[in-house]
Amino acid sequence: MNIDWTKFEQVALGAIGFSAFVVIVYSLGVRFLTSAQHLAGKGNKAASSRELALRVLSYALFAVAAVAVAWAVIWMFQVMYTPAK
Amino acid sequence: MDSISVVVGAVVVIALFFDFTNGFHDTANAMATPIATGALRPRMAVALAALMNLAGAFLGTAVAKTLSTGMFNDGIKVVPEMVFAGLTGAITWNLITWFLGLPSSSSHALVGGLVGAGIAYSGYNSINVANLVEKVVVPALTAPLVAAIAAALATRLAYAITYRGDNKDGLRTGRGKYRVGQWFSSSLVAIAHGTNDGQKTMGVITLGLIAGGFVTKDAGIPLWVMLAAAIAIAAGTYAGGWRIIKTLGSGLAEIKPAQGFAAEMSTSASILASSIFGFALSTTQVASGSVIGAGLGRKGGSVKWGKAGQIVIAWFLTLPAAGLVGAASASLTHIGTVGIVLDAVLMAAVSIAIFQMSRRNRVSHHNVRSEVEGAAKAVTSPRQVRQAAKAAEKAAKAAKAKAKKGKK
Repeated sequence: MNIDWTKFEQVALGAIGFSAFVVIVYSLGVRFLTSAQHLAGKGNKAASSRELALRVLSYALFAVAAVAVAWAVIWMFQVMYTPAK
Repeated sequence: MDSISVVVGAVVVIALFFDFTNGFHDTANAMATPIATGALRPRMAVALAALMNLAGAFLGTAVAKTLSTGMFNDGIKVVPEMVFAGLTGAITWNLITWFLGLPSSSSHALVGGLVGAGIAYSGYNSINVANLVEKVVVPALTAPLVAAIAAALATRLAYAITYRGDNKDGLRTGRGKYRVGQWFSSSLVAIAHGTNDGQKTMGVITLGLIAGGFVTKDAGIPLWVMLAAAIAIAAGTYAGGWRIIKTLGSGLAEIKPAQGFAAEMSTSASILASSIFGFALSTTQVASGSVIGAGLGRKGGSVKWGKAGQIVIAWFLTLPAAGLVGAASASLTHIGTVGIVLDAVLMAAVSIAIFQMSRRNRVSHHNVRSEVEGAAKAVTSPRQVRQAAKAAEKAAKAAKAKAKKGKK
Protein backbone atom coordinates (compact mmCIF):
# COMPACT_ATOMS: atom_id res chain seq x y z
CA MET A 1 0.00 0.00 0.00
CA ASN A 2 1.48 3.32 -1.06
CA ILE A 3 -0.17 6.39 0.41
CA ASP A 4 0.58 9.71 -1.27
CA TRP A 5 1.22 11.83 1.82
CA THR A 6 1.97 14.95 -0.24
CA LYS A 7 -1.77 15.24 -0.96
CA PHE A 8 -2.48 15.28 2.77
CA GLU A 9 0.24 17.87 3.34
CA GLN A 10 -1.32 20.05 0.63
CA VAL A 11 -4.77 19.70 2.21
CA ALA A 12 -3.39 20.58 5.67
CA LEU A 13 -1.39 23.57 4.45
CA GLY A 14 -4.22 24.79 2.23
CA ALA A 15 -6.81 24.52 5.03
CA ILE A 16 -4.65 26.17 7.71
CA GLY A 17 -3.29 28.86 5.38
CA PHE A 18 -6.62 29.80 3.81
CA SER A 19 -8.59 29.95 7.08
CA ALA A 20 -5.81 31.95 8.78
CA PHE A 21 -5.66 34.41 5.86
CA VAL A 22 -9.41 35.08 5.79
CA VAL A 23 -9.63 35.37 9.58
CA ILE A 24 -6.66 37.79 9.74
CA VAL A 25 -8.11 40.03 7.02
CA TYR A 26 -11.63 39.99 8.50
CA SER A 27 -10.33 40.59 12.04
CA LEU A 28 -8.32 43.61 10.90
CA GLY A 29 -11.51 44.89 9.28
CA VAL A 30 -13.39 44.42 12.57
CA ARG A 31 -10.65 46.21 14.51
CA PHE A 32 -10.52 49.21 12.16
CA LEU A 33 -14.31 49.50 11.93
CA THR A 34 -14.65 49.43 15.72
CA SER A 35 -11.98 52.16 16.00
CA ALA A 36 -13.83 54.23 13.37
CA GLN A 37 -17.11 53.87 15.28
CA HIS A 38 -15.35 54.95 18.46
CA LEU A 39 -14.00 58.07 16.71
CA ALA A 40 -17.42 58.91 15.25
CA GLY A 41 -18.65 60.40 18.50
CA LYS A 42 -15.68 62.78 18.99
CA GLY A 43 -16.88 65.50 16.64
CA ASN A 44 -13.60 67.26 15.80
CA LYS A 45 -12.22 67.51 12.26
CA ALA A 46 -9.05 65.44 12.73
CA ALA A 47 -11.05 62.64 14.30
CA SER A 48 -13.64 62.62 11.52
CA SER A 49 -11.04 62.39 8.73
CA ARG A 50 -9.31 59.56 10.63
CA GLU A 51 -12.68 57.92 11.11
CA LEU A 52 -13.35 58.05 7.37
CA ALA A 53 -9.94 56.55 6.56
CA LEU A 54 -10.43 53.72 9.05
CA ARG A 55 -13.94 53.05 7.77
CA VAL A 56 -12.75 52.85 4.14
CA LEU A 57 -9.85 50.61 5.15
CA SER A 58 -12.12 48.27 7.11
CA TYR A 59 -14.61 47.94 4.24
CA ALA A 60 -11.71 47.27 1.86
CA LEU A 61 -10.52 44.48 4.17
CA PHE A 62 -14.02 42.97 4.36
CA ALA A 63 -14.10 43.07 0.56
CA VAL A 64 -10.74 41.25 0.37
CA ALA A 65 -12.10 38.53 2.70
CA ALA A 66 -15.23 38.21 0.57
CA VAL A 67 -13.16 37.99 -2.64
CA ALA A 68 -10.97 35.29 -1.07
CA VAL A 69 -14.05 33.21 -0.24
CA ALA A 70 -15.52 33.74 -3.72
CA TRP A 71 -12.18 32.85 -5.28
CA ALA A 72 -12.05 29.60 -3.27
CA VAL A 73 -15.46 28.56 -4.62
CA ILE A 74 -14.61 29.49 -8.22
CA TRP A 75 -11.20 27.83 -8.05
CA MET A 76 -12.72 24.66 -6.64
CA PHE A 77 -15.33 24.66 -9.39
CA GLN A 78 -12.60 24.95 -12.07
CA VAL A 79 -10.47 22.19 -10.55
CA MET A 80 -13.26 19.73 -9.79
CA TYR A 81 -15.91 20.23 -12.39
CA THR A 82 -16.50 17.48 -14.88
CA PRO A 83 -19.61 17.84 -17.00
CA ALA A 84 -22.46 15.43 -16.36
CA LYS A 85 -23.17 12.91 -19.13
CA MET B 1 -40.26 -4.44 -16.22
CA ASP B 2 -37.57 -7.01 -15.32
CA SER B 3 -36.42 -7.71 -11.76
CA ILE B 4 -33.08 -5.89 -12.24
CA SER B 5 -34.90 -2.67 -13.12
CA VAL B 6 -37.07 -3.02 -10.01
CA VAL B 7 -34.03 -3.57 -7.78
CA VAL B 8 -32.13 -0.64 -9.34
CA GLY B 9 -35.24 1.52 -8.90
CA ALA B 10 -35.34 0.50 -5.23
CA VAL B 11 -31.65 1.39 -4.92
CA VAL B 12 -32.30 4.86 -6.37
CA VAL B 13 -35.22 5.47 -3.99
CA ILE B 14 -33.37 4.26 -0.90
CA ALA B 15 -30.21 6.17 -1.92
CA LEU B 16 -32.24 9.36 -2.13
CA PHE B 17 -33.72 8.60 1.31
CA PHE B 18 -30.17 8.17 2.59
CA ASP B 19 -29.32 11.53 1.01
CA PHE B 20 -32.26 13.09 2.86
CA THR B 21 -31.07 11.63 6.19
CA ASN B 22 -27.55 12.79 5.36
CA GLY B 23 -28.91 16.32 4.87
CA PHE B 24 -30.75 16.55 8.19
CA HIS B 25 -28.01 14.69 10.04
CA ASP B 26 -25.41 17.18 8.82
CA THR B 27 -27.30 20.51 8.91
CA ALA B 28 -25.46 21.10 12.16
CA ASN B 29 -22.06 21.14 10.44
CA ALA B 30 -22.78 24.51 8.88
CA MET B 31 -25.48 25.98 11.08
CA ALA B 32 -24.92 24.90 14.69
CA THR B 33 -22.44 27.69 15.45
CA PRO B 34 -24.35 30.60 13.81
CA ILE B 35 -27.51 29.49 15.65
CA ALA B 36 -25.54 29.23 18.91
CA THR B 37 -24.05 32.71 18.56
CA GLY B 38 -27.34 34.30 17.45
CA ALA B 39 -25.96 35.18 14.00
CA LEU B 40 -28.90 33.46 12.29
CA ARG B 41 -32.39 32.42 13.38
CA PRO B 42 -32.85 28.62 13.30
CA ARG B 43 -35.35 28.45 10.39
CA MET B 44 -33.42 30.98 8.33
CA ALA B 45 -30.20 29.10 9.04
CA VAL B 46 -31.53 25.79 7.73
CA ALA B 47 -33.09 27.47 4.68
CA LEU B 48 -29.75 29.07 3.83
CA ALA B 49 -27.96 25.76 4.38
CA ALA B 50 -30.44 23.96 2.12
CA LEU B 51 -29.92 26.48 -0.68
CA MET B 52 -26.15 26.31 -0.40
CA ASN B 53 -26.16 22.50 -0.28
CA LEU B 54 -28.22 22.48 -3.46
CA ALA B 55 -25.69 24.73 -5.18
CA GLY B 56 -22.70 22.82 -3.78
CA ALA B 57 -23.93 19.46 -5.05
CA PHE B 58 -23.46 20.67 -8.64
CA LEU B 59 -19.87 21.82 -8.17
CA GLY B 60 -18.01 18.61 -8.88
CA THR B 61 -17.93 14.83 -9.11
CA ALA B 62 -14.51 13.76 -7.76
CA VAL B 63 -15.90 12.28 -4.53
CA ALA B 64 -18.74 10.60 -6.40
CA LYS B 65 -16.16 8.80 -8.54
CA THR B 66 -14.29 7.54 -5.47
CA LEU B 67 -17.50 5.91 -4.27
CA SER B 68 -18.84 4.71 -7.61
CA THR B 69 -15.67 3.14 -8.95
CA GLY B 70 -12.96 3.04 -6.29
CA MET B 71 -14.32 0.91 -3.44
CA PHE B 72 -14.25 -2.55 -4.95
CA ASN B 73 -11.45 -4.35 -6.76
CA ASP B 74 -11.56 -4.66 -10.54
CA GLY B 75 -13.31 -7.81 -11.67
CA ILE B 76 -15.63 -7.86 -8.66
CA LYS B 77 -19.23 -7.96 -9.77
CA VAL B 78 -21.20 -5.37 -7.84
CA VAL B 79 -24.91 -6.27 -7.87
CA PRO B 80 -27.70 -3.77 -7.11
CA GLU B 81 -28.89 -5.89 -4.16
CA MET B 82 -25.48 -5.33 -2.54
CA VAL B 83 -25.78 -1.55 -2.90
CA PHE B 84 -29.31 -1.73 -1.48
CA ALA B 85 -28.05 -3.69 1.55
CA GLY B 86 -25.20 -1.21 2.08
CA LEU B 87 -27.62 1.70 2.06
CA THR B 88 -29.88 0.13 4.68
CA GLY B 89 -26.85 -0.22 6.97
CA ALA B 90 -25.96 3.44 6.45
CA ILE B 91 -29.50 4.72 7.00
CA THR B 92 -29.99 2.66 10.18
CA TRP B 93 -26.75 3.96 11.72
CA ASN B 94 -27.54 7.54 10.67
CA LEU B 95 -30.95 7.41 12.36
CA ILE B 96 -29.56 5.86 15.57
CA THR B 97 -26.85 8.53 15.92
CA TRP B 98 -29.35 11.29 15.04
CA PHE B 99 -31.65 10.03 17.81
CA LEU B 100 -28.74 10.11 20.26
CA GLY B 101 -27.74 13.59 19.02
CA LEU B 102 -24.25 12.38 18.07
CA PRO B 103 -22.56 14.10 15.12
CA SER B 104 -21.18 10.90 13.57
CA SER B 105 -20.17 10.59 9.96
CA SER B 106 -22.86 9.91 7.33
CA SER B 107 -20.06 9.25 4.85
CA HIS B 108 -18.46 6.57 6.97
CA ALA B 109 -21.87 5.04 7.61
CA LEU B 110 -22.30 4.80 3.85
CA VAL B 111 -18.82 3.38 3.22
CA GLY B 112 -19.19 0.97 6.17
CA GLY B 113 -22.58 -0.25 4.93
CA LEU B 114 -21.28 -0.84 1.41
CA VAL B 115 -18.10 -2.57 2.60
CA GLY B 116 -20.13 -4.82 4.94
CA ALA B 117 -22.50 -5.75 2.14
CA GLY B 118 -19.57 -6.24 -0.26
CA ILE B 119 -17.84 -8.63 2.14
CA ALA B 120 -21.09 -10.56 2.69
CA TYR B 121 -21.54 -10.94 -1.07
CA SER B 122 -18.00 -11.46 -2.40
CA GLY B 123 -15.65 -11.92 0.57
CA TYR B 124 -12.84 -9.77 1.98
CA ASN B 125 -10.84 -9.83 -1.26
CA SER B 126 -13.52 -7.83 -3.05
CA ILE B 127 -12.62 -4.63 -1.19
CA ASN B 128 -10.06 -2.23 -2.67
CA VAL B 129 -8.33 -1.82 0.69
CA ALA B 130 -5.54 0.48 -0.57
CA ASN B 131 -7.99 2.97 -2.06
CA LEU B 132 -10.24 2.72 1.00
CA VAL B 133 -7.36 3.44 3.36
CA GLU B 134 -6.04 6.35 1.29
CA LYS B 135 -9.36 8.00 0.44
CA VAL B 136 -11.46 7.20 3.50
CA VAL B 137 -9.56 5.93 6.56
CA VAL B 138 -6.51 8.25 6.55
CA PRO B 139 -8.58 11.40 5.83
CA ALA B 140 -10.95 10.31 8.64
CA LEU B 141 -8.06 10.32 11.07
CA THR B 142 -6.22 13.40 9.82
CA ALA B 143 -9.00 15.78 8.73
CA PRO B 144 -10.51 16.50 12.19
CA LEU B 145 -7.01 17.11 13.54
CA VAL B 146 -6.14 19.50 10.70
CA ALA B 147 -9.47 21.32 11.15
CA ALA B 148 -8.92 21.57 14.92
CA ILE B 149 -5.42 23.03 14.46
CA ALA B 150 -6.67 25.47 11.80
CA ALA B 151 -9.60 26.56 13.99
CA ALA B 152 -7.48 26.96 17.13
CA LEU B 153 -4.93 29.07 15.22
CA ALA B 154 -7.63 31.16 13.51
CA THR B 155 -9.41 31.75 16.84
CA ARG B 156 -6.17 32.86 18.51
CA LEU B 157 -5.46 35.22 15.60
CA ALA B 158 -8.98 36.69 15.74
CA TYR B 159 -8.75 37.34 19.49
CA ALA B 160 -5.19 38.72 19.26
CA ILE B 161 -6.08 41.15 16.46
CA THR B 162 -9.23 42.46 18.14
CA TYR B 163 -7.69 42.63 21.64
CA ARG B 164 -8.07 46.08 23.26
CA GLY B 165 -5.87 45.79 26.34
CA ASP B 166 -7.29 47.28 29.55
CA ASN B 167 -10.03 49.14 27.63
CA LYS B 168 -9.34 52.46 29.42
CA ASP B 169 -10.54 54.55 26.43
CA GLY B 170 -13.86 52.73 26.36
CA LEU B 171 -12.91 51.10 23.07
CA ARG B 172 -14.85 47.93 22.39
CA THR B 173 -13.43 44.77 20.83
CA GLY B 174 -16.25 44.72 18.28
CA ARG B 175 -16.24 40.92 18.26
CA GLY B 176 -20.00 40.87 17.80
CA LYS B 177 -19.27 41.91 14.20
CA TYR B 178 -18.13 38.37 13.48
CA ARG B 179 -21.83 37.48 13.38
CA VAL B 180 -22.08 39.14 9.95
CA GLY B 181 -19.01 37.19 8.84
CA GLN B 182 -20.72 34.03 10.05
CA TRP B 183 -23.47 34.43 7.46
CA PHE B 184 -20.85 33.97 4.78
CA SER B 185 -18.59 31.46 6.52
CA SER B 186 -21.52 29.16 7.38
CA SER B 187 -22.79 29.46 3.80
CA LEU B 188 -19.36 28.38 2.61
CA VAL B 189 -19.48 25.33 4.91
CA ALA B 190 -22.90 24.45 3.49
CA ILE B 191 -21.59 24.74 -0.09
CA ALA B 192 -18.60 22.59 0.84
CA HIS B 193 -20.95 20.06 2.46
CA GLY B 194 -23.12 19.91 -0.64
CA THR B 195 -20.01 19.43 -2.77
CA ASN B 196 -18.68 16.61 -0.63
CA ASP B 197 -21.79 14.85 0.66
CA GLY B 198 -24.20 15.48 -2.21
CA GLN B 199 -21.72 13.66 -4.40
CA LYS B 200 -21.68 10.56 -2.21
CA THR B 201 -25.26 9.74 -3.07
CA MET B 202 -24.55 10.48 -6.73
CA GLY B 203 -21.70 7.95 -6.44
CA VAL B 204 -23.91 5.30 -4.86
CA ILE B 205 -26.75 5.71 -7.37
CA THR B 206 -24.20 5.52 -10.18
CA LEU B 207 -22.73 2.40 -8.55
CA GLY B 208 -26.25 0.87 -8.60
CA LEU B 209 -26.72 1.87 -12.24
CA ILE B 210 -23.34 0.37 -13.17
CA ALA B 211 -24.23 -2.80 -11.24
CA GLY B 212 -27.55 -3.02 -13.07
CA GLY B 213 -25.83 -2.50 -16.42
CA PHE B 214 -27.60 0.79 -17.11
CA VAL B 215 -24.38 2.81 -17.45
CA THR B 216 -20.77 1.81 -18.04
CA LYS B 217 -18.05 2.22 -15.41
CA ASP B 218 -16.38 5.14 -17.24
CA ALA B 219 -19.59 6.91 -18.29
CA GLY B 220 -19.50 9.46 -15.49
CA ILE B 221 -22.35 10.72 -13.34
CA PRO B 222 -25.66 11.17 -15.27
CA LEU B 223 -27.26 14.64 -15.04
CA TRP B 224 -30.56 13.37 -13.59
CA VAL B 225 -28.61 11.66 -10.81
CA MET B 226 -26.88 14.96 -9.96
CA LEU B 227 -30.22 16.77 -9.93
CA ALA B 228 -32.06 14.22 -7.79
CA ALA B 229 -29.22 13.94 -5.26
CA ALA B 230 -28.90 17.73 -4.98
CA ILE B 231 -32.64 18.16 -4.32
CA ALA B 232 -32.75 15.30 -1.77
CA ILE B 233 -29.84 16.64 0.29
CA ALA B 234 -31.27 20.17 0.19
CA ALA B 235 -34.68 18.92 1.38
CA GLY B 236 -33.07 16.94 4.20
CA THR B 237 -31.01 19.95 5.23
CA TYR B 238 -34.12 22.12 5.38
CA ALA B 239 -35.81 19.53 7.62
CA GLY B 240 -33.02 20.36 10.12
CA GLY B 241 -31.31 17.90 12.43
CA TRP B 242 -32.10 19.88 15.58
CA ARG B 243 -30.75 17.26 18.00
CA ILE B 244 -27.28 17.38 16.47
CA ILE B 245 -27.43 21.18 16.11
CA LYS B 246 -27.98 21.26 19.88
CA THR B 247 -24.93 19.04 20.51
CA LEU B 248 -22.59 20.84 18.12
CA GLY B 249 -23.82 24.33 19.02
CA SER B 250 -23.51 23.98 22.76
CA GLY B 251 -22.60 20.45 23.80
CA LEU B 252 -18.94 20.54 22.80
CA ALA B 253 -17.77 24.04 23.67
CA GLU B 254 -19.16 27.47 24.45
CA ILE B 255 -18.89 29.25 21.13
CA LYS B 256 -18.72 33.02 20.68
CA PRO B 257 -19.03 34.79 17.31
CA ALA B 258 -15.27 35.08 16.66
CA GLN B 259 -14.83 31.38 17.43
CA GLY B 260 -17.81 30.47 15.26
CA PHE B 261 -16.37 32.41 12.33
CA ALA B 262 -12.92 30.82 12.79
CA ALA B 263 -14.42 27.32 13.14
CA GLU B 264 -16.56 27.70 10.00
CA MET B 265 -13.66 29.04 7.91
CA SER B 266 -11.48 26.10 9.02
CA THR B 267 -14.24 23.58 8.31
CA SER B 268 -14.93 24.87 4.82
CA ALA B 269 -11.22 25.20 3.93
CA SER B 270 -10.56 21.60 5.05
CA ILE B 271 -13.54 20.16 3.17
CA LEU B 272 -12.89 22.09 -0.04
CA ALA B 273 -9.18 21.21 -0.09
CA SER B 274 -10.02 17.52 0.52
CA SER B 275 -12.77 17.37 -2.11
CA ILE B 276 -10.29 18.35 -4.80
CA PHE B 277 -8.36 15.11 -4.22
CA GLY B 278 -11.55 13.03 -4.04
CA PHE B 279 -11.18 12.23 -0.33
CA ALA B 280 -14.56 11.03 0.91
CA LEU B 281 -14.00 12.66 4.28
CA SER B 282 -16.55 13.25 6.96
CA THR B 283 -17.76 16.85 7.05
CA THR B 284 -19.21 16.09 10.49
CA GLN B 285 -15.85 15.05 11.88
CA VAL B 286 -14.23 18.13 10.37
CA ALA B 287 -16.91 20.43 11.83
CA SER B 288 -16.61 18.78 15.26
CA GLY B 289 -12.81 19.10 15.10
CA SER B 290 -13.15 22.79 14.24
CA VAL B 291 -15.55 23.43 17.15
CA ILE B 292 -13.12 21.71 19.55
CA GLY B 293 -10.20 23.70 18.08
CA ALA B 294 -12.13 26.96 18.37
CA GLY B 295 -13.02 26.07 21.98
CA LEU B 296 -9.36 25.54 22.79
CA GLY B 297 -8.19 28.58 20.82
CA ARG B 298 -9.92 31.17 23.05
CA LYS B 299 -8.23 32.13 26.30
CA GLY B 300 -10.52 30.87 29.06
CA GLY B 301 -12.45 28.75 26.58
CA SER B 302 -13.19 25.16 27.43
CA VAL B 303 -14.19 21.92 25.76
CA LYS B 304 -16.64 19.43 27.22
CA TRP B 305 -14.38 16.41 26.91
CA GLY B 306 -17.04 13.96 28.13
CA LYS B 307 -19.24 14.77 25.14
CA ALA B 308 -16.22 14.89 22.83
CA GLY B 309 -15.29 11.38 24.04
CA GLN B 310 -18.79 10.06 23.27
CA ILE B 311 -18.58 11.55 19.78
CA VAL B 312 -15.15 10.00 19.12
CA ILE B 313 -16.45 6.59 20.25
CA ALA B 314 -19.35 6.98 17.79
CA TRP B 315 -16.81 7.81 15.04
CA PHE B 316 -14.87 4.60 15.71
CA LEU B 317 -18.07 2.55 15.85
CA THR B 318 -19.55 3.99 12.65
CA LEU B 319 -17.64 1.91 10.05
CA PRO B 320 -18.00 -1.49 11.82
CA ALA B 321 -21.58 -0.89 13.02
CA ALA B 322 -22.86 0.22 9.62
CA GLY B 323 -20.81 -2.62 8.12
CA LEU B 324 -22.50 -5.20 10.37
CA VAL B 325 -26.00 -3.92 9.49
CA GLY B 326 -24.97 -3.84 5.82
CA ALA B 327 -23.73 -7.45 6.02
CA ALA B 328 -26.87 -8.63 7.86
CA SER B 329 -29.00 -6.84 5.31
CA ALA B 330 -26.98 -8.40 2.48
CA SER B 331 -27.65 -11.87 3.85
CA LEU B 332 -31.38 -11.08 3.57
CA THR B 333 -31.14 -9.70 0.04
CA HIS B 334 -29.32 -12.92 -0.93
CA ILE B 335 -32.69 -14.71 -0.67
CA GLY B 336 -34.00 -12.73 -3.65
CA THR B 337 -36.92 -10.35 -4.14
CA VAL B 338 -38.62 -11.58 -0.92
CA GLY B 339 -35.43 -10.76 0.99
CA ILE B 340 -35.27 -7.27 -0.49
CA VAL B 341 -38.88 -6.58 0.45
CA LEU B 342 -38.28 -7.95 3.96
CA ASP B 343 -35.18 -5.79 4.23
CA ALA B 344 -37.09 -2.68 3.18
CA VAL B 345 -39.92 -3.43 5.62
CA LEU B 346 -37.47 -3.97 8.48
CA MET B 347 -35.67 -0.70 7.71
CA ALA B 348 -38.97 1.19 7.52
CA ALA B 349 -40.01 -0.30 10.88
CA VAL B 350 -36.70 0.72 12.50
CA SER B 351 -37.01 4.23 11.03
CA ILE B 352 -40.58 4.67 12.28
CA ALA B 353 -39.65 3.34 15.73
CA ILE B 354 -36.74 5.81 16.00
CA PHE B 355 -38.90 8.74 14.85
CA GLN B 356 -41.59 7.75 17.38
CA MET B 357 -39.06 7.53 20.22
CA SER B 358 -37.61 10.91 19.24
CA ARG B 359 -41.05 12.56 19.75
CA ARG B 360 -40.85 11.91 23.49
CA ASN B 361 -38.00 14.36 23.83
CA ARG B 362 -38.58 16.60 20.86
CA VAL B 363 -35.97 19.13 19.74
CA SER B 364 -37.19 21.44 16.98
CA HIS B 365 -36.59 24.93 15.63
CA HIS B 366 -38.95 26.21 18.36
CA ASN B 367 -36.78 25.10 21.24
CA VAL B 368 -33.33 24.54 19.75
CA ARG B 369 -32.34 28.17 20.28
CA SER B 370 -33.25 28.17 23.97
CA GLU B 371 -31.46 24.85 24.46
CA VAL B 372 -28.35 26.21 22.76
CA GLU B 373 -28.60 29.57 24.47
CA GLY B 374 -28.75 27.86 27.84
CA ALA B 375 -25.22 26.67 27.28
CA ALA B 376 -23.95 29.72 25.44
CA LYS B 377 -25.64 32.30 27.65
CA ALA B 378 -22.59 34.56 27.59
CA VAL B 379 -23.33 35.23 23.94
CA THR B 380 -25.96 37.91 23.52
CA SER B 381 -26.89 39.45 20.19
CA PRO B 382 -27.03 43.28 19.81
CA ARG B 383 -30.81 43.06 19.39
CA GLN B 384 -31.13 41.17 22.67
CA VAL B 385 -28.99 43.82 24.39
CA ARG B 386 -31.25 46.61 23.00
CA GLN B 387 -34.38 44.71 24.02
CA ALA B 388 -33.03 44.17 27.54
CA ALA B 389 -32.12 47.87 27.83
CA LYS B 390 -35.62 48.90 26.66
CA ALA B 391 -37.27 46.50 29.11
CA ALA B 392 -35.13 47.85 31.97
CA GLU B 393 -36.01 51.44 30.98
CA LYS B 394 -39.71 50.58 30.90
CA ALA B 395 -39.52 48.90 34.29
CA ALA B 396 -37.73 51.90 35.79
CA LYS B 397 -40.38 54.29 34.41
CA ALA B 398 -43.17 52.11 35.78
CA ALA B 399 -41.50 52.01 39.20
CA LYS B 400 -41.11 55.82 39.14
CA ALA B 401 -44.77 56.31 38.24
CA LYS B 402 -45.81 53.93 41.01
CA ALA B 403 -43.68 55.79 43.53
CA LYS B 404 -45.27 59.13 42.46
CA LYS B 405 -48.73 57.67 42.85
CA GLY B 406 -47.82 56.42 46.30
CA LYS B 407 -46.65 59.91 47.37
CA LYS B 408 -49.89 61.48 46.21
